[in-house]
Amino acid sequence: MIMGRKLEDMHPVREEFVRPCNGGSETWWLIGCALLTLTICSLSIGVRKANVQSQSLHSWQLNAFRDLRAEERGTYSALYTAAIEIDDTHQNGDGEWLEVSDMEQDFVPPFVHDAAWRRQGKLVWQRKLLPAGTLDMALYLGEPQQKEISGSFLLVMQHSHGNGSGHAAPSTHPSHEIWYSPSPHPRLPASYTDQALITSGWKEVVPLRGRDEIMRTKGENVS
Amino acid sequence: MTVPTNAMGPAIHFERVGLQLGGNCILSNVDFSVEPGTIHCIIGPNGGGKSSLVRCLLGQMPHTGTIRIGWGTGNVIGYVPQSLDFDRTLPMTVKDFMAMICQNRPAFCGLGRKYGPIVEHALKMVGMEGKRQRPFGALSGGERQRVLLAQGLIPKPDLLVLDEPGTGLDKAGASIMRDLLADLKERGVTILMIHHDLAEVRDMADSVTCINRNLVFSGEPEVELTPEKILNVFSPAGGTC
Repeated sequence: MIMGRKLEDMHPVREEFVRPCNGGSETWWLIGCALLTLTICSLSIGVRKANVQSQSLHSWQLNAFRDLRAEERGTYSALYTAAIEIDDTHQNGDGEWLEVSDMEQDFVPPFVHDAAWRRQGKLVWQRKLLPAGTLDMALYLGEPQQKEISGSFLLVMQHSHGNGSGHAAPSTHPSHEIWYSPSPHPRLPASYTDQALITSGWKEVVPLRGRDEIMRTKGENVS
Repeated sequence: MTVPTNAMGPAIHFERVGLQLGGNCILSNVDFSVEPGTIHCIIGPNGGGKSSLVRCLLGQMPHTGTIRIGWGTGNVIGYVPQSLDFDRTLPMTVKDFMAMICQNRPAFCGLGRKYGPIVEHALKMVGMEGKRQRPFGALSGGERQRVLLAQGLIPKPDLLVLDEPGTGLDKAGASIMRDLLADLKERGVTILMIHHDLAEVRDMADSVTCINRNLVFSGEPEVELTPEKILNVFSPAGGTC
């Protein structure tokens, strides 16, 4: 009461309640945004169809990861790395293919006679060059002294201009290939095309790359 | 107490207002009313919750209880803060500051033609019309306080809330502020002001409320501001929730 009059009588009341600033709306906005994000993500995952590719190997191929024994995988990995070194030396040098003895002296596995070499079946390596005037190719043949531990490996080095007819997949033919034979003394064909090697009982070893493993883990690749 | 018959400002009702921040009780059961078109002062010891109460009124705090504002014809609140935190090296003149406060467009675009006379008038009311081009950081504490008071007058407020406006003001500044508040009161503006100068409160306030976490007293200054009450409030054994 002011001077005998009610406050509301003096004043045209248009009441406003001051709302407390308690962050309630922010909490609901945050929850809403989180739910929206989860919904969008869930829908995206559900809608997304993975491009499943079936990577089936041919009958004349082996999976390096699955089809080789542990000792053979060791030899294969070392040979894969050595092949890059051999190819590099061939291209940047005077066109010669590295000698087995040179690589043995330079401690290049699997040619060096170290503990791993002994554990992996003591493969005896020899280099074979194709006669001049034909393809620019070199073969490195490794035959095991312990046939119960490892089979034979054949590293086929070929320069790009040497890729030609007779290969199983010429368009994707790499500068080197690694072939495997379970026999300790495999038969070498007269000509070194894919077909000839396959006929002689060799099988090409297909590596498992990081990209393949990622695709396999994601379920995009069924081998 | 004199109440203007043409009162236009709002009445404010605080009903069982409480405030807890981080488990600490800041305010509890505060219950009083501010009459329209009057100067209402809030006093109390430091840390008693005066500024928090004002921030509750401005809707900036998670208070409990009810705060009702019974608006008259207008619903404009002017707010004059206790101080302003800003970088003193900021290249901002008084005019830029006023532009920043008054208009929506960026201050670097200059003060709009529409706002020029309004800002000029507000600065004149606080005796700062000659210092429009002065860097804001170069102003003294009292001058800055006057500019803060001027920004609270744009647009014309129906309710003016001031948080210790006398801080840093010199004699001339205090006189300008007193005249200005009296003028606003004549025009029916409700003025809610935190003040610590009890003599000035007794001199110009129509009503006074003492807050020390809870309500200590509220009423006319002549009645409430007795030496015993003041001694009780400002003694070291303060009130608690």
